Amino acid sequence: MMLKKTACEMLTVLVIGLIAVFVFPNYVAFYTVISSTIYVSLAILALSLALVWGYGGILCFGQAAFFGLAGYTYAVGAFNFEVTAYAAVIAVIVPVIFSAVLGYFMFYGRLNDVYLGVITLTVTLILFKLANSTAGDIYTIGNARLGGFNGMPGTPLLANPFGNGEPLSPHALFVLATVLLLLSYFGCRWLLSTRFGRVMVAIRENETRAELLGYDSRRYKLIFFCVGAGIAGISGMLFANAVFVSPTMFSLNYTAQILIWVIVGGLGTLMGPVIGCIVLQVITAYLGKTGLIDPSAALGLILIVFVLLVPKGLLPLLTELPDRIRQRKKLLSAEPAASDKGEQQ
Amino acid sequence: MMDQPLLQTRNLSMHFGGVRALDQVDFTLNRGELRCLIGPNGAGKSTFFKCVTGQLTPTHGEIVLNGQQIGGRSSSEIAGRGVGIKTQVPNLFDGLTVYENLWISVRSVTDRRARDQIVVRTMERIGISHLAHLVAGQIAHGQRQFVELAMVIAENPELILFDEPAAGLSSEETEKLAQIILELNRNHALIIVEHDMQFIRMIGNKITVFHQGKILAEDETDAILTNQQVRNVYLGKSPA
Amino acid sequence: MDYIIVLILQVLYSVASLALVCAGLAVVFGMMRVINLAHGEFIMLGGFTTVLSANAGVPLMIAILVIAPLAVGIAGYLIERLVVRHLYGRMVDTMLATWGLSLLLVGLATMVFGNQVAGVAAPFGSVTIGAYGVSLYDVFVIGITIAVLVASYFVLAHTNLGLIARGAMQNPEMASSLGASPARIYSVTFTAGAALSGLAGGILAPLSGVVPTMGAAFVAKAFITVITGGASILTGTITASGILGGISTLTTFAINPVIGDVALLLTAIILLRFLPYGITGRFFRGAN
Repeated sequence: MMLKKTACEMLTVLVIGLIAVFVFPNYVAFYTVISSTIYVSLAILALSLALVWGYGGILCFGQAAFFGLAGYTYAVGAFNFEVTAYAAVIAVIVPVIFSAVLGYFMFYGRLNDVYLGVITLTVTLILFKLANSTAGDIYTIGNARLGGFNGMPGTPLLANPFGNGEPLSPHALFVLATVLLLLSYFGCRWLLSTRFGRVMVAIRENETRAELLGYDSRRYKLIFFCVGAGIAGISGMLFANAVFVSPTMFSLNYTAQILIWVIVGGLGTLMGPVIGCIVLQVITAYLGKTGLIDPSAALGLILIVFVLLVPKGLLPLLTELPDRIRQRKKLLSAEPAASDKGEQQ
Repeated sequence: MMDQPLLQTRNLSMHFGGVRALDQVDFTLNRGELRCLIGPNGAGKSTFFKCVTGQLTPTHGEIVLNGQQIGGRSSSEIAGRGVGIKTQVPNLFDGLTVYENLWISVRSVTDRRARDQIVVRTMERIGISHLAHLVAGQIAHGQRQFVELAMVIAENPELILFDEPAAGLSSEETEKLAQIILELNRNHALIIVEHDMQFIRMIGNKITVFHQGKILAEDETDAILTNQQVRNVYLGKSPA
Repeated sequence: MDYIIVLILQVLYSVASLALVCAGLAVVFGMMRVINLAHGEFIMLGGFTTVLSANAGVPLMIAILVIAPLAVGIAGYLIERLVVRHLYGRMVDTMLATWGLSLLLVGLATMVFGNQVAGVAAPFGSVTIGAYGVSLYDVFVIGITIAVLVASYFVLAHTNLGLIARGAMQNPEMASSLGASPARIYSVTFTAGAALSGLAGGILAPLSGVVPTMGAAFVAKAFITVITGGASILTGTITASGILGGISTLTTFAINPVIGDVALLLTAIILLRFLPYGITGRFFRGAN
């Protein structure tokens, strides 16, 4: 049953992905391609939290930290290196190293999930402050000025390292982002199907049991956390190309949004948060344009409503619908009994 | 090497604030031995298990497994050295299927096919094959007990601890459990905490009695059951 | 000599303001195990209440000490009823819901007040110590923090309310069998915590001015301090504020404010690595 659902989801993703790569950009306005690139790169960010929190049970409020670090690393590298592709690779490595150090302190200190949330959040906010305070000429790395509040506009764009050094066109960037999203998604699926991934899910389910069976949960969490940071890093690198790098990448606003995407889409699924991200991006962009209600207020309201009323999120709600209807029919024909377990880890 | 005991505690003490849950316990278990621990509630049996499995760090004293210090090591490390536990309240991965629960438990076998084989064989042995694809959180209590039992067997540790394995089982299930335990004893050393004397008679030959954090007596089953001191403790009188 | 006095005053001031900002959070977290991520917004509301009432002609001290805590207390009471109450015992969900609340409050405040700084002038003027000027308002902040801490200690240790509240925190069932409904205790506690945050916002308003997004600046510091403090509300908050506030001020003096914040965070993370339950606690195992 589970397997069938997963296979179904993977097939759907592949089809939509292929359409997105080969059909979509040829039929929409130039402007739409550019904003779609932003959505896709943020969807990768949503995916990273979906993996770390939804499957690893690690309550990380700091995905934005890795996202921003990757952005800044890419920008600094791109200003300094001839081949911007190197910068892109380093941009993914740096957040992984950062997460390894941070994760060591958190997991080996055996902090519980609430503390993890608070610490990762704090780290992100501190990075936000740090990034904001880098105005002026002292904060220059090689050819790159960090630029404080203004960020780093004019960052050289990613170029095909095997081509003529021309930066990628918006169309090509969109295709790259979509392909990376697909790769990240299938990478996550693969990871979850390995023994490592299964043990991680078991640790999420019952950490004590896993420890008593001989699995060192600290090590598993640390590695999973680093993988999540790497995926967030891919997202940040793309974002740096699609928009530009500024301290807002570390802001509370992004930190909160990532979380909301995951909750709205469905914690414990991979596709849910990706869909949640894209839908909510479209909604906030629309709200921002019309000025009807402050986007932040709208997101806050959505978060409260989901936590109180739809704690499982949209995707599980939709995929369980056929099961529920079937179950109800069965119940109606048989004796009435309680069907809901109402349990949550 | 072979005649050294499997598990030995020396002077093992665990204090919670002013309470001495374990007080200078010297305990020895030989290879392949089956030992029952009894004693009134609060005698220190569970604390003893928690110290041995690394869930608690002893205040004083040593725990030696196969000649190596394990006191205060992490649970996962101790489990890695061959100590498995079946907890009192079945402790499963509730969101996973029974099959996955067992699959996770086979830690030391890396080959995928060999793992699958062990899982299938263990489920057959315990008689839970029909539950394989049910989610662990949704099965009945008695069945959960057997699933956890199967998990520990699949893990295949040298020493298995059982914390009140017969609690909440029907008499039929209890008999089945006794059989499994005797069978397990052929290849594993076992320590079993149990209240059910009926059950202990079915499996036990040597019993250790805990009382107020200390070992009160240690002897063959029949001798313990007629021991006046032990009877007093169970009737609530303090030992002479 | 005068430099030393000023430095000591500065350290005292930053420890006090840190403790002040943490007090409301510490009460709610310590008593109810609720991590209120809208804490910073309660401070923001306190600030706006103070500035608006002062601009409407209310004497500043009354605006700070009476109106701000009162208004935010009422808001806290309503929020407890509408949102927090439904999530007791689910720490993560509470965190998320209060985060939503935080965004909502920031958004609403932006819609009402606009995204600009509003403020009032700090009263009392300043005195000079040797070559340095010291604002008397800073001294006032130190004094009022001490007063708040002493008052909280008195309430917790010597009143019926405090006794019942502490009992409920240890054992909710026992407390309810004694006739104290946990729901009411939680309601009172959350309201009191909100009022304290409102007071903090009122006191800080003349110093930093108020903006809808100001909460973000406090929330991280306050959380890290409360968590580092651990289970014991007062002792924990005071010691953690002392250690973290002290370190951050000294590094601020030596280098700059941003490094001060970084030092605060690093100290906290390292402390928590070795004392996972905070300085005063061995509470709170597992994931609940």
